[in-house]
Amino acid sequence: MRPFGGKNVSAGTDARGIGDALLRLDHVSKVFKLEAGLFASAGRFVWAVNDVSFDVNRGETYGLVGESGSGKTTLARTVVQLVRHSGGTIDYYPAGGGTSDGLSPPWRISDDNANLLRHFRSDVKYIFQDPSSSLDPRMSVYRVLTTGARYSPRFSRTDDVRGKAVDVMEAVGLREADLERRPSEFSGGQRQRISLARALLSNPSTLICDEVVSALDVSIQGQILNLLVDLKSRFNLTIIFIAHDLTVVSYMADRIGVLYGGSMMEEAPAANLVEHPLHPYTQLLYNSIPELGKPLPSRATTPGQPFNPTRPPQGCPFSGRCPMAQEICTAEKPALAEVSPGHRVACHFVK
Amino acid sequence: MKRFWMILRHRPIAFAGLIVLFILYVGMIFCEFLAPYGPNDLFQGHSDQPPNLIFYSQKYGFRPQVQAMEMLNDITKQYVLVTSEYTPVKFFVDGPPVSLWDTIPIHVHLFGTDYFSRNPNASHAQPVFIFGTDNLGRDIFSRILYGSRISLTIGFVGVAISLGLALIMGGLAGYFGGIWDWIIMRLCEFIILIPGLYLILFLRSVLSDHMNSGESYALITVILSFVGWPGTARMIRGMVHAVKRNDFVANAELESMPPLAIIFKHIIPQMSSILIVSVTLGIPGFILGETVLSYLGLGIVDPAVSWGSMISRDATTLSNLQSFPWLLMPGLFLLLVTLSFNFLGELLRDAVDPNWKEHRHG
Amino acid sequence: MGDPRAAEGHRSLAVRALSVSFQTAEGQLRAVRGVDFELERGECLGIVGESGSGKSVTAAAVMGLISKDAATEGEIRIDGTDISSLTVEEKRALRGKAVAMIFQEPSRSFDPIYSIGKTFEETFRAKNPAITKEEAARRATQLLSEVHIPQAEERLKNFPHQFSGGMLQRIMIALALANDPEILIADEPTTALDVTIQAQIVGLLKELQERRQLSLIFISHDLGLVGQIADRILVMYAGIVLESGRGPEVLTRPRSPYTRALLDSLPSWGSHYSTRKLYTIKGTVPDPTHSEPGCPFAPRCRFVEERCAAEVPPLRSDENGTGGAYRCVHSGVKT
Repeated sequence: MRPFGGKNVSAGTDARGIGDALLRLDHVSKVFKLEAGLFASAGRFVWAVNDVSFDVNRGETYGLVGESGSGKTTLARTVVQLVRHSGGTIDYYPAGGGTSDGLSPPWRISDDNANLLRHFRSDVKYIFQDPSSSLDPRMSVYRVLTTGARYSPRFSRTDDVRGKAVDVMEAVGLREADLERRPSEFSGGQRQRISLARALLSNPSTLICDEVVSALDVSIQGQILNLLVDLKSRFNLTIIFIAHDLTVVSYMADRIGVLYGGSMMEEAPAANLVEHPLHPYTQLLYNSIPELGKPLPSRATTPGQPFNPTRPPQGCPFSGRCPMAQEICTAEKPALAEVSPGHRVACHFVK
Repeated sequence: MKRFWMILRHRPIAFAGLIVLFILYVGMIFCEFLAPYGPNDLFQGHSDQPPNLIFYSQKYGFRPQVQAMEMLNDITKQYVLVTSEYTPVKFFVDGPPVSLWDTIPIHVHLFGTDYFSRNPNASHAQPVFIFGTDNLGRDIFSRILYGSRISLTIGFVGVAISLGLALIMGGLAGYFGGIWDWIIMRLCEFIILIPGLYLILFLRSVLSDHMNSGESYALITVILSFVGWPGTARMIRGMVHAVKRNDFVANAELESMPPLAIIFKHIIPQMSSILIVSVTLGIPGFILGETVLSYLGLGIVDPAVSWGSMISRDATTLSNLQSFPWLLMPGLFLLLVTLSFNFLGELLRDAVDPNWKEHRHG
Repeated sequence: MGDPRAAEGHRSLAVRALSVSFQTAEGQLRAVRGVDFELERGECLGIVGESGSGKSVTAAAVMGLISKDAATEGEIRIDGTDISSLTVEEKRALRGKAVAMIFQEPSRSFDPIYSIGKTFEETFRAKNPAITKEEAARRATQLLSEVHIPQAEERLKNFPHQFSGGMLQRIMIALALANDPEILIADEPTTALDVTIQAQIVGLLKELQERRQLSLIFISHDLGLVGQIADRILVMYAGIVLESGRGPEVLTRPRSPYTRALLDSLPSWGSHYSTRKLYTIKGTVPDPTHSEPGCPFAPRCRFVEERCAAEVPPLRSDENGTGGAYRCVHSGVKT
């Protein structure tokens, strides 16, 4: 068995977090190697996530916001090892010490320890963006919910899986009779409820919600957001809430990390970020939010040079579009530095 | 299913094909009862006799009956009709004793004449040959019915085996990708590269040729399946690739479901409708494959009977076919079956194709 | 025949009692049920609605992109001409010249094997077969600079996949302007784009509208976005206009319970789950194949009464004299 906790850090408070860390990402990176094709040359890489570190504290909602290509989904997927990270460490500090089944805390997440992953994935659940793709269309809702239970360390053969399924269905606002129907018979919002029910079945401590409302109709989004808030307090969940919409993230999250080009640009408590977005990218994001009465951005905001993930990362990923960019920005990558308690910014010009 | 019937209404040919297949398979199941004689019952003095069933005579009026024939020349097998000697065809008559499905002994057949009756009044009764006889005086119709036992099942068994292989190989290649994908796909290409017929001939001749009919049946299906799976495996691999991208597969991975369970519980069911179509369209290939092998003398041999072996025995020379065209009857059945499966397969393909639209007139 | 424009004033588009229904396996789908609106020259009309609200079908009807098996009723006048009175050829000519449209997925609107320059050339050639290559390139460059594509001339040689989504949408807009249309219909033009890019595209559309005196129809599900760009707004639900009115007022002081509920159900900037609970609109978006007689929003409305289910309430004008109108049996929600 591979030794855990080589770094000898405790799960307590430290400079980065405010409270009790549940999940700690340290210098996590992910580089995809592009497969060579007939016309594509071999050996091309995509730097999707570059050296990202942050803590998620027990019981909080951690928001990750970023546009397409920001690496937010890749990052979330490395946490549950749907994507194996290529650098850095992901440590998990389960409640109750997490010493069951020959495991010792902290759990260092990697995909070569199947037993650990089985326990971890029962405790940390990933909710996908599009419920029409994440629920097998040929299974009844009951089978969708419970097929996984057979393989979960949290269930034994004698457990009342059906009773548990009824409980979680009620928790998400669906009825027992719905268990016999197929996912296609439900609307998008209801399907997302089924996804949540499925995640809750194994009594997880953490949900990773990846753009869970962006595929839904406007009048349905509120329902699901309310439900998440409700489930969080009811089941004492920790939530990692990922979205492209800064307004939604700032509503849902206690702390927010802003990603751009695979790097963390700014991290702050939600209230701080709403009032004082410091990083130029966060400010651009804020200015781009369509809101009544806000003047339209002038045409002077030229497209700029967007971040190219197939180039080796060097300098600040936002430098190509940043109005404040200087020479140093393309040469040297700014470190994430604390400017006020809990508020960290990665910019050469924000101190 | 509802859609299937809806499309079926607009496809009379496919509908006819469905009926033909239904009749043939019922015939296959009850062949001992439906065939008036056994497949190897010899009728002395009736070799290479043309079909002798007629529906009208002055003696009996309108009813199925047999007009007696006399062989003129036993070298050229020329027959003349004997005037005013008729034998009525009856239903549920005594015939040669057989056992239904090798278990239930019966001696009543669906139809026949009093040829086998012990009644002295019936001593002049003639046997009925709907499709005539072969050179040993065996009833072609009965032989076609018995032969369908092999010809109509070999398609299903063969497709089942090759589909099984294709599912496993294509599923593994598509799901795991990487080196597995490479090995399996190169193997497929290798098999596809060799001309199928020569591979079949090679395998068949390498393997023992002193076999009883059961063994050669099994061997033929295995050989045909071995040649047939790579194409399907490649198709399945492609579909697995597409289905794999769905989040429910990732979700199953997150629930620690083992890969084989994911392939068979989540991925294969998504393709079931397309697989049904490919099975239906694949069956004629196997039936024809058996025919080809038998025609080349490497398949079913006497005393076992299949349509292929009948064609190979009887339809060998052109002069044979000129003089005794009824010997081509098994070929006609072969044509009917393969066409029916093709029409049915096309119908199924349209039924599962979400983009298919009914063509309205005007 | 006099100048039809004189009769209609500066109106470039008038839609009266437009209804569109499709025949589906599940029954008749009434996508649009009696929509009226007008578009003045140089004005931006925003149409807001969720999926199934009929907003895109309305636009498609104006463009004449509705398939033949759909039943379309009502009147569409472009520049005072009722298009139903025209022959197919005349319709095509009028639409190509007067109305242009851009779509959600710019990458799907381009033929990947044509370079951008070639695409422009084909578009010009459709109207003017005699145009030379050089002339086409010159005009294309001009259009691309108008939508702020840097190094426009060189980029004509590029192929669609060499552009980012935001750039492609700019090119799409330039292409739509190729024949100097009077009316530009933008159907969810920014939904596939990132927020920061969305802001640029919306800014560009507004700029073009003002500079070229374009009549713009901007369709989106995003209330905030429409509120930012539109001079007048239609709020659609289940094929019916539930509320219409001037620019941001519809969204700052909504009278229809639906508009109100939509605004309340979404987080606003600065609100937080710990202090403000979102309003939950119960139920789901209605199935367009089962249209009930009453107000379509009634089953989900918090102010629902028995009479709501009787019939679709008429569009009544706002008592406050804002020029707005709404459909509700109540005298609208208090704001």
